This record gives sequence, C-alpha cells and structure tokens, in this order.
Amino acid sequence: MRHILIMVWNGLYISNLDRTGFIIKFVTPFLLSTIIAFAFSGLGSSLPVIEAFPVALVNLDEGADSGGGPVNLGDTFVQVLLPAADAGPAAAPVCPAADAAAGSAPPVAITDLLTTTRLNDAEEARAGVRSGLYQAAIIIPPDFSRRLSPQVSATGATLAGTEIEIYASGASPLQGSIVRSLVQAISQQLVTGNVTIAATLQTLIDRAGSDPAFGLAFAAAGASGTFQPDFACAFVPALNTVTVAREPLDAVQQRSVFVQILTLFGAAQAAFFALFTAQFALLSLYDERKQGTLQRLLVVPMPAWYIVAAKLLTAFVNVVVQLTVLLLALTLVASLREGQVMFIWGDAPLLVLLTIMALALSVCGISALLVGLARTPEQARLFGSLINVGLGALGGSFGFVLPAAIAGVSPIYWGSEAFRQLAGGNTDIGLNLLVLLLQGGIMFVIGSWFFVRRSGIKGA
Amino acid sequence: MPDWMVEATGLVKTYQRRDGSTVAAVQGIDLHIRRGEIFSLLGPNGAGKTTTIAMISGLIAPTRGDAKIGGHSITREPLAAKRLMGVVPQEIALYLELSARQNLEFFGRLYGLSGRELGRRVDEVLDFIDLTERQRDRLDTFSGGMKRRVNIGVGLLHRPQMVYMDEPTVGIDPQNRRRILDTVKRLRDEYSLTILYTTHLMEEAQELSDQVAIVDQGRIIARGSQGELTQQVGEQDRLIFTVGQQKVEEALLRRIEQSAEGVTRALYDAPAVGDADGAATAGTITVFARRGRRALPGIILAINDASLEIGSVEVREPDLEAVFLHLTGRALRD
Ligand SMILES: Nc1ncnc2c1ncn2[C@@H]1O[C@H](COP(=O)(O)OP(=O)(O)O)[C@@H](O)[C@H]1O
Ligand SMILES: [Mg+2]
Repeated sequence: MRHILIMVWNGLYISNLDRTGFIIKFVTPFLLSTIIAFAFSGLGSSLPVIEAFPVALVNLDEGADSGGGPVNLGDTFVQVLLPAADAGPAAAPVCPAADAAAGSAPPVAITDLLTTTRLNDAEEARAGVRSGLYQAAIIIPPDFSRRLSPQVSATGATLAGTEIEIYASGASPLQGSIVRSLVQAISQQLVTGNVTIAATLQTLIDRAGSDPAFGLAFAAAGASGTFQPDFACAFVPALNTVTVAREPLDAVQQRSVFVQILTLFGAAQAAFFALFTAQFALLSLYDERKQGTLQRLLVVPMPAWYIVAAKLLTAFVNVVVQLTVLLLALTLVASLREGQVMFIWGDAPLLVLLTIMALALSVCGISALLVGLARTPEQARLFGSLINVGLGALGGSFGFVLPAAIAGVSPIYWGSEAFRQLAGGNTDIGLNLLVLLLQGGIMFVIGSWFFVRRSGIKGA
Repeated sequence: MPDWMVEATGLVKTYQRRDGSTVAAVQGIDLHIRRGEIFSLLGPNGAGKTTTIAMISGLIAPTRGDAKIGGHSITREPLAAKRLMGVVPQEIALYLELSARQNLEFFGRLYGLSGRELGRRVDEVLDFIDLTERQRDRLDTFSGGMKRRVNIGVGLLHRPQMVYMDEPTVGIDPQNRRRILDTVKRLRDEYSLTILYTTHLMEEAQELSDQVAIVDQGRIIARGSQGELTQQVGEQDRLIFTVGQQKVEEALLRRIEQSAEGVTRALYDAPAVGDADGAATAGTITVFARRGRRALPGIILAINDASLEIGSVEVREPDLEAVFLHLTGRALRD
C-alpha cells in the first residue's frame, strides 16, 4: 500500500507540473463557466432585486357545503394574499396558535412580494398579464372548494384534486416561479387542512358504524344541523403562509441569475473536462513505458499490479481534486460577484463530495475502458477526444439540453444534474448517485481489466 | 561449489510478433557470476544482451529457464531476488520533469527508504555520481552524460549486492564514458559490488571485466577470463587492412592465406553503409597470422597484385575482438 501511495503522490505531482495539463484541468473549465455566466447574466448590470411586483387575483370559487356548513376555500386564499383587504363573507377566524406563531416568527409579508389586485374576470386578468400590467395572474376555479371539500358518503370521506391556474408572463420567469411556489405552498396548506377534516370525519363515520349509540346521536346531530365542528383553524392564514412561503422564497431569491448560470455551466464544464483529466492520467502509463520508468518500476521489489492500481488511483484522485477545486473556485467567483460569502452548491457539502467521488469513479471507468480498448496511445487520444465531446454534448456541457432519456447515457448528465440539484437546495439525488456508481463501477471493473491487459504488465 | 551471486540456467526468450512469426531473442543462456566480480556480456547489437538482463531482473518472464539471484529464484521469489539487485537500464529511465534529487528520492522511497536515511543515501549517491551541485535542476536541462550518471545512481540507492548495467556508455562523449568506466571499477573495488556489464565495445569489456561471456545470436559462444578467451585465438596477431569501398574477391582472400608463412586465415568485412554515425565505413581485410609483422610484406604484395589500394594497416595483439571474429567470422560492430 505504501508503494501505491508513493506512486500516486509522484503521479499527482508530475501531472501538476505539466502546464498544458493544468490549463485543461482547471483554467479552461473555470474560465468558460465564468465567462458564460457573466455573458448571460448581463455583464455589469446588477441583478434585479426582487421587489413587490403586480399580480392579479381572480377568485371564481362558488364555495361548497361540507358537513359543517358553507365553506369557500377561494376566499381563504384571498385572505392570505390580501390580508388587509375586505376579503368577503368569511372573516379570518382568530386562533390562539396563530397569534403565538405570528409573534415568534418574523414574517416575510406577502405584501412585500406581491402587489395583489383582485379582479372578477379571468380573461381580463390574462389580458393584463399579456399587456404587462401584471407579472402573473392567479385564477381560482369555480369548483375549487367543492373539489377540495370532503365528500361524505356512507362509505367514507374523500377529496378530489383541483387546479389553480397561474398565468405568468414568459418575460419574467423568476416572478412566475415565485408566484407558482407561493400558490403551491398555500394550497398545500389548504389541502392539508382538508385532509385533516376528511380524516376526522372518516373517524366519526367509522365510529358511528361500529357504535350504534354514537351513530344515532351523530345522525341526529347531522339532521338537525347542530353538528357544526369548527374547522376554521385548519386554515390559519397568518400561521400558514408565513411559514410555508419562507423557504422556497428564500431559495429562489438568493440565487441570482448569475449564480444559476454559473452552477449550471460550471457543473457541466467541470464534469466534461474531468474526462480528459482521467484519460491523460491513464495514458501516462504509455509515457512511462516510452520513458523507461515503467521498466524501472517493474524491477522494484513490489507486486506488479501495484503499478496499475497506482495509475487508476492517480486518475481518480486527480479527478476528485480537479472537481473539488473547480467547484470551490466557482463558488469563490460567485461570492465575489455577489459581494457576500456564499457556497453555491447547496448546504449539503458531504453530498457534493459524494457526488464528486461518484462522478470521478464513472469518469475513470470510461477512460480505463477507452485506454484499454485502444490499440495505441494515439488511437486512445483520438477516440478519447471524440467520445468525450460526445458525452459532453449528450450530458449538456455545450449549452443545449437533451431529453433525459438520451442525456442519461452520459455520466456528465447525472453528475452535473446532481450538482445542480444540490445547488438548488434539493438533496434528493439518490438516483443520480446510484446511476453514477453503477455506471462507474461497471465501467471501472471492465475498463480496469482491459487497461491491465493493455498495459502488458505480467502479474498485474 | 562457489557462492554464485547470479546463477542462470537455460534461459530462453521467444517473442511472438504480431504477424504470428517468432523471434528467438535468447536461445539458451547459462550464466554464473561470482560475488564481487565484473562480468561482461560482450556481443553485437541484437545479440540478446538486453533480453537476458530483462529476464534475470524480473522485467520479463523467461520462455524457459530460470535465474537465481543470491539463491532466490527470480520467477518464484521475485521480491526477494529483486531486493538484492540494482538495475541500470540501457535507455535512460528517469522522470525528466523532476530534478535529479526528486528522481532519487522517489525510487529510494519505493525501495523502502524514508526520512533521514533516505536523505543520507541520496546525498551519498549524488556525491558518488558527482552531481551534488546540480541536484535541484530538472533532468531535461541535463546533458546526456549527466542523465546517464543519474540513471546509474538510481540503481545504487538501496545499496544492492549486485548491479546490472546495460550498455551504460551508449551515446555519450569520451570524457563521460571515462568517468562511467571509472565509476564501475570503483563500485567493484571500493564497494565490493557484483556487476553484470553489457557492451558491444570490445575495449570496455577488455578494460573492466574479470569474466567475459561473448554473446551472439542469443547464445554464449565463448566464456572465461580475458586470458582464457584470447588463448582460443592462439598466439596469432591480427592484421587489419582498410580497402575503402573497393570490391574484394574471395580468390584474393585465398591467395593472401598462401602469401606468407604463419598466415592462417583471411576474412573480408564489407563496408557498412550508414552505421551509428551515419557515415559509411571502409571495407577491411583481416588476416590472422602468427608473427604478424613478418607476414606483412607478403600480404601487402598479394593485395597490390589484385590492384587494390590499401588505406591503412594495423597490427593487433590477440584481443576479444579477435576472439569474436575468430568464432563468428564477423566483426563485433555489425
Ligand atoms: N519485445 C520484443 N519483441 C520482439 N523482438 C524483440 C523484442 N525485444 C527484443 N527483440 C529482438 O530480440 C533480439 C535481441 O534483442 P536485445 O536483447 O535487445 O539485443 P541486445 O541488447 O544485445 O542489443 C533482437 O533481434 C531484437 O530485435
Ligand atoms: Mg541492448
């Protein structure tokens, strides 16, 4: 093992003495992503700070009559978005919990983000978006409450799905996405509330079914209209909106266009150039043969396979170092550009590192297979570049994105997509890691076998 | 039975070419090298010297046969055998992008040296090869001779009991060659190292060797001390006439053999076109004769009769070159 580490260290040292290698490894991908990010985010112009922007709200909800009397969830929605305004018949109920929560969490007021105008006509709202009067329109359909209210039948209580229309202008995608995430968060709360009600009703019905005395009382209460459970606190505007709206909003707001482009291109470029690094590292075995140092290593008292293992490990470590340095360098650029220290790859650095390792494994596997299959180093270099460019194109390194089904062939897709997800605060990258490790593992094993064979080292 | 440092028996190496044909690089070589001696493998290019060394250093597996280094089989106990040996490959085998010191340190570590011990050995070797001053410079700034010295130094770092040196003077100037030959002798005389030295240069083998094995076409055709070998040629001198590019008939050689008393054999060596220096060398007629100086006039007459012009004449006492010529009918440099 000592022997292998000595050789790996020497390999890393030598590969970093090589100026061309250094440029290909670090400088080119770094400059490319930085330049692209600057170019596409509007060089010099500061980012639009997201100020309150105009949104139209149309509530067409006709309400519904659930077990507990008339309910209009659309109105609840309006209350959330227009808290101060006269929101119609159902005034916000006061819940003790709401006050407590409102006191403890400093709310990001929705009015700070949206200047909501209430309209009655959906088409008018859409036209307003088209003309630029509003950045987006939120249209609540007539059957909104009906579909979301528990449908009580003899067998149980059910909820149906529904849809709120968000009509956003393509010219302001960022605002569109803010509105979308806001609305999503609010509806989530409504639905959760109603799911609770449905579950409660279900329990009552179940109990009525199994307990005749309770069943009689329940039926009587229902018929006389005295069964009026108070579900108002299931929708607590002040409590809900603030807590749900905060996170996605923070994430969206903090990531400027520059950073978004930087993460997008940076990840893809880093992964693309990693292919070359792995290839160069493995091809250096040919150089060592030509240079005679391989022959010298072969007469050192150590098992010959150490030499091949050291080469593979050198390639792997080289790629890990390259990816780490590049991701850190890009984060530094982003920090300088944004004027604040930030880590642009999300808040799970361990997952980032894990992705780096998985990607490195995959990339080294491909290179080992390639170098092992090629008959000569010249052939390996030629086909290697072609294959790398192909994988880069498939994986999205050149700015166009292919459907996942095609792009998925390339580890660059899985790797850079994982980095992008992590950057966006999404740690759900299990599939990416699995694919990379599987792709990498299989290629690495087959590739190493061919590589050892091609190395011609007996006893390796 | 002597305590052999190297004991190789029945070494055979057959290479398979891509087209399926085979090359018999080594066709059955036995070697017995005593501790503390310089043993030379002398033979022309392509004789199989490098292939032999590759087999007994564990670089390539023999097709047949085995070698024991200090009693350890190179095929069955390669690690134990390799620990005893240092190797100086024919080609410079170093990282040119590293400094002399870095090269020495890297290989020293692989041989298990570390820390202060490593530093001390490296200093020692640098002093021995006289490169202490330039130790921090990258090798690609070194002259051929300096690289050769580092190449040798790496083979000595771990204080092996024996060193293989494969044509260590190829392609360097006379001054550096002198230096290397002196180094080799110092290694034997001061450090009691056993040295297996290969060369195609008769003078080198003559100067260095305690024992010589003459190799040709994958086989050892003669072996022994220099005295033993030259005795094979008998007390014959060697008369060498250069005749430029002129054509020499077989009949002339026969006539030379009859031209004077004591002449035993006449050989013609055609001019070699484009040798290592790129220049065509002159053709030579070599005549073996007892009391060569007395036979000279008769031979010159015979050559003149054939209307050939003699460029130069040289009379040599029996030497290894003569042995090779005597045994193969060819000159070593071919
Ligand atoms: N790897 C190889 N494949 C095929 N033939 C080889 C190989 N190595 C050496 N040979 C051949 O074996 C013969 C002996 O070569 P070598 O041992 O290098 O001779 P020397 O060192 O005495 O000049 C030569 O004819 C050479 O062409
Ligand atoms: Mg040779």
